[in-house]
Amino acid sequence: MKNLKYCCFPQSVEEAVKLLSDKKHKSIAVAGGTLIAKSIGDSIEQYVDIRYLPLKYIKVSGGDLIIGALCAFDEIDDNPFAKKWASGVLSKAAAKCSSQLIRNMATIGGNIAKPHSFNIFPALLCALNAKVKVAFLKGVKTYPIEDIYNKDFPYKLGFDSIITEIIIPAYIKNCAANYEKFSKTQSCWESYASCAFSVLMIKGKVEKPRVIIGSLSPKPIRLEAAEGIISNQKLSSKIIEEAMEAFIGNLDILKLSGIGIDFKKEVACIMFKRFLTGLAEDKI
Amino acid sequence: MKNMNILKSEDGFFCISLKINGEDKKVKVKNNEFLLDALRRYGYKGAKKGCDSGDCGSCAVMFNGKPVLSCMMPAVTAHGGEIITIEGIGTIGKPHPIQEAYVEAGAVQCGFCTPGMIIVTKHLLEKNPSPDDEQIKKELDGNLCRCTGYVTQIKAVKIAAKKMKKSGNKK
Repeated sequence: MKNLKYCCFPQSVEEAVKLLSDKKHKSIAVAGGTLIAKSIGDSIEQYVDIRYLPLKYIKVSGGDLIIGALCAFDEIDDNPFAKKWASGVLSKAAAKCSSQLIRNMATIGGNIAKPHSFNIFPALLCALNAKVKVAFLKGVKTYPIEDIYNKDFPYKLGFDSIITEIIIPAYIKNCAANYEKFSKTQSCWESYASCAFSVLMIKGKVEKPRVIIGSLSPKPIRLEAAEGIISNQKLSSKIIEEAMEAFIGNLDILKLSGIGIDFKKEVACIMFKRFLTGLAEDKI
Repeated sequence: MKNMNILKSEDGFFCISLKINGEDKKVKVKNNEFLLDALRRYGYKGAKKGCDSGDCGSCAVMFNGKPVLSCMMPAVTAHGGEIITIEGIGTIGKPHPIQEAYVEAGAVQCGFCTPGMIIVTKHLLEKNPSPDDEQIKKELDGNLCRCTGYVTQIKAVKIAAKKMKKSGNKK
């Protein structure tokens, strides 16, 4: 931060990305700032403070739920759409992230643009099959959220581009969904394991399942083998057992490492079982 | 980019404009300074430097109507904003009902966490004049106190809510 020369307050998204793309100065976008404020290196010469851009809204458009990237966690927690859609999972998850003071500052855009294993929204939005709108110098493009975590994603979010909107498809509104994390306290940012799930229940059968784990890796991981077992099935105890086995198998293939990884995997497994059992018993 | 505001650093300082406790101020802040340090340098020492990493809440100030962690906010980005510190909430001669309530409830012991707690309480009572225990706990869960067991703060918020309703004082 000591080499900072400029701080800009753009009035529009176009201005913001133009400033970020300007090669004269090494720039970074700043909004809530809770994830980056203390880690901004000395190489940064320009802040592009995007806090005042008109990206603070939660609305339904064309049936989809649209969340402006500058919505803070507390605004999502309090929002009536967020409380209603997908068993209210967006609101419940936002309320679980860190302290109220952090929730007042941290934005959903920042939470997904700078992925960290403890962040809530990368995993949750993957489970909700969300898309993100990314603005860059030459325009705006919409990507499935998983794509922004791929190695070949063409932009460096926050450095040459910004996320402007998160789009959650209309069908998700009636999905059963849950976000669970296992941590020291409910509002603790760090968690040992976290999972996000969503399914559409039609006539007692599971459709469009999405099973995502967070915390065990910096980027959210989708467990498609487990999804395959429950897809188009009624949730009998046999199917649940098979899905659990597939879930464990999926995790084993990923060769995750780190302190206490076996314990964390076990916890994630229990979360998945609890979700499926809750669905089978019609409790979610 | 006609209307865009661009601040340029000179000799390691930015000159920013902001409103602090209702007064328009021009403040010089260092390039690598956080809002908490700048405020304290200018004499607003009510906001405390506890953990300096966003964990304890003792640095809380109101920024554009919301309590924020001033230790996490680069000072230059406060340009154009409106800040209320504990110095802007009541005085020694005429304390705010929330401050009176904290004293009455015995929620002030060493006092280090109290400014942050009061800032957060003020915001809570502005949006919800009659919070229940759960709502109070949720709002205060980022403010650590190492003297009390938090019971007295919850009591203080309830007393403050009654006082503010009685006096119609939402300030």
